[in-house]
Amino acid sequence: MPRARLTPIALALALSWPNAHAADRELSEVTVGSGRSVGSKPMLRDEIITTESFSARDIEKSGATTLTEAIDKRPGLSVQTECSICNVRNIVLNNLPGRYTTLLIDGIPIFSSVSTAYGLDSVSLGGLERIDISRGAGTSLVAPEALAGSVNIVTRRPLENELMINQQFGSHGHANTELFGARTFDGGALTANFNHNRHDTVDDDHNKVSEYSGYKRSIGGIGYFIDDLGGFKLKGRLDIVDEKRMGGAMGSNYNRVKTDGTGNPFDWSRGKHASPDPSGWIDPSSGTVIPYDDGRAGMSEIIFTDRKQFITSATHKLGEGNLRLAVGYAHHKQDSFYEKALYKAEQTQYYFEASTQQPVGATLVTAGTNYRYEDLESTGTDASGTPNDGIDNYKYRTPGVFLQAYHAFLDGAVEVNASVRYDNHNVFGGITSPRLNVLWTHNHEYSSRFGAGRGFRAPTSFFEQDHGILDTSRIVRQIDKAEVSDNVSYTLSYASDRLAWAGSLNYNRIKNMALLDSGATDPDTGDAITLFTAARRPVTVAGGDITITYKLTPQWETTVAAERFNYRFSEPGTLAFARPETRVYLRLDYDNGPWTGMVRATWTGPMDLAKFYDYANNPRYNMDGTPKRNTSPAYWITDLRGEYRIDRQWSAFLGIDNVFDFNQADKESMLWIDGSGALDVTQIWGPNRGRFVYAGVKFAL
Amino acid sequence: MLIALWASSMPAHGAGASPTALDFELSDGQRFVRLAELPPQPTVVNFWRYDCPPCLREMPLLATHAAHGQVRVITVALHRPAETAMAPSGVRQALSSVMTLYAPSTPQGVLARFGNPHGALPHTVVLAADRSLCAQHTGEIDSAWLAHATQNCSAHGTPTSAPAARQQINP
Repeated sequence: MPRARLTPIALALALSWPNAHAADRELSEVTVGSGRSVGSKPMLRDEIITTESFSARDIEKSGATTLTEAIDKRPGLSVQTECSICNVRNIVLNNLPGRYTTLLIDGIPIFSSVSTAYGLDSVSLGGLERIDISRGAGTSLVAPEALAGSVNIVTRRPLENELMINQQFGSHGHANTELFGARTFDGGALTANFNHNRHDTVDDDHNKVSEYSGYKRSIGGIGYFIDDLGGFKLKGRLDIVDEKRMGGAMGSNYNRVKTDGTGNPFDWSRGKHASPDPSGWIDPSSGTVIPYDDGRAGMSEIIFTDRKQFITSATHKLGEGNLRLAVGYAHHKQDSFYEKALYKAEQTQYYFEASTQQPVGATLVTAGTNYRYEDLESTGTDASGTPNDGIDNYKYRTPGVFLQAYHAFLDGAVEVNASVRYDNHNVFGGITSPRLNVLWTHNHEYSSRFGAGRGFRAPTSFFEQDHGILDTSRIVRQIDKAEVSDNVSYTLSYASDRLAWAGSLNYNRIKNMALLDSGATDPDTGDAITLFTAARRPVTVAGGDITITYKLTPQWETTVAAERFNYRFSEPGTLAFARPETRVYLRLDYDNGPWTGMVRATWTGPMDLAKFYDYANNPRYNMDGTPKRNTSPAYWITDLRGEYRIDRQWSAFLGIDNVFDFNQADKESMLWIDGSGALDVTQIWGPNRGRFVYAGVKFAL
Repeated sequence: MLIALWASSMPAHGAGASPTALDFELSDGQRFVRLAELPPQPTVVNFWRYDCPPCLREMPLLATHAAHGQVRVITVALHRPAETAMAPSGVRQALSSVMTLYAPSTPQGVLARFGNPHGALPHTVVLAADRSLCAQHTGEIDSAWLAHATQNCSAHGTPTSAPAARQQINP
């Protein structure tokens, strides 16, 4: 006679945490969370909130060495480069602005606009179990500012002693060294990881201005797991990041570049639609050459990042349920040189959380409170040397309370999770964020997930809108409301033994979207000022995607996916970077004995550059004075990677990203000239690096 | 094409099987194995992962049980074949005496079909000879439970008048 199955509430006790992203826990008999990705594909986790999971193995198989590389090129997910000189990158969910993506580590939100501007490339993948991504506002109960969704990095609890060494070399002077060690003991484990990653600047159109920033990055960290300390189960980690990056001028001699402020070391006559004159570019209004005379410093951005972060959480049985405590701390320093303007910022973040989860009859109730503190202090000068210290300083304090209820109906076939949180922001006042999620399991193969919710975000400063470029005398703040996003989503998924597919629809409406106008002038003094305002009309991004996976043979598996998005916005600067309406993804995975391989091709459809970049009010021109393209071309990017397991300890791999060497610079430069002849660096719609070949070995004890 | 793919992947009930007969079509790394096409016999199906401690602890028990020859033991790994190589040596040794299959990259369907809709591990089911569900347990099993379950299940579901199922496994 079959034993009784675990009831939905019993499993929900194990599966559900206030933030719905907590790492898996082990009960006395049951290890939960088998719904992680198996093999190389992301898969919908068996959770109420639609969550895509990428295992450590999946990430390794894609050749990713950074978080941004791990997430890119998947339906509904992408990484957007927002500056061709400094390569600031954001993770984009549902094609919404990257600042609306909240990054968590083990369910703790300890990243901010400052730290994600350059910090996403510096998130350590050492000791990683998986990455969980949930799209939609309010998907994280503890991070309501996740207007587009959240990315949660889940740390792996080692089960035995480990040593892993991964050494990789690649094109453009690339080298990546990764070390991971774990020591288990009775009742816990300790981990240590180190990563050093470097890459040269890349200039594909040979004008001596880079499209891909060079960097040197070192990340180190230690972690601990204690199974029972006074009844508490603890885990935590400390990470330290040190990164130096430079773009614009080639090389990595930062001090020499900073002091090289005159003359023309570049060749403006190289590249697509280049100037006829190597000494400068054409002024579109007059047809004459504007000579360049600011040396390497005038075209370079050099950013040094130092970051320390610590997170820890503790859980304890409390009555029939659980008690959870969590603490996070981060100190982030950025020392930047932006085309002769200087910017130094220091940010401190604190996070505290206390919550309890208790069964109340057949309902699982979670209640808690958290407190977030975030500040920013900056000093700087504009390009002329005039100080503009502290013009984007802020101190945000946000205490909040949250309540969540989970209930299963119809013998577990329908599971409902409803939550609400209230935050009292010290600047933007009281904000309520409700969320409803429903999982309807139709039968063994089919399930539907429905979600509706609201999130809010306090726009911090000019810094995050333009990553710290403060070539302005002051910021005029005309923004007094938080950005608010309402989101509705539906996902239908099917999973059988060889075929699986999932189709999603997403609707996002954002009110009070923050806007930046750095081209304003003070009416009294005529000095350059920056207006920080909010959009008067909502912005809507709606779309759908479908992913189909089929196991062709025991060795071969194929995935086909597509996404289609529609953008409705009328005010320039809201969706400030170009986005495609359509993308298609193809992938083939091979797994046979010691051999594994992957080939994937991503097709990006045309983008309406004229609309996103507001040509109507601010036309853009090439170096030769001709107008920029109104629409970007469609293009394919193909990547492949193969790995051979030599024995249980050693494996070797070889990969090629962008096999067919497609580079935006071959079609159109990322540099552009405005109507007055001023240069900018944000005409971005395609890859900023061509073919990249890499190879390496991995040793695991 | 989607409908054809879907139809081709649906597991078919073997001849003579009961209407509630469970089935799967999973890979052993080299070929697909369909449960319905294996010789009718009481079967223990165990779902596990290489990083699941209770899963690893019970593996030697399953291997010992398989060695007795009374039931067929099939382990279904919710990870890739390369990750089996990362399991401890004792587990790999145990796996050599049982049939090891691999779940699809989206295992929710097969897990739900075998009584585990929430995907908790480890999970063990015991099927009678007609592949009907006879016993199941979510969590670590012990020898007493396994012995009791297989003994009970061995007495159920033996086909009598139905024609014998095909013996050959799909190449």
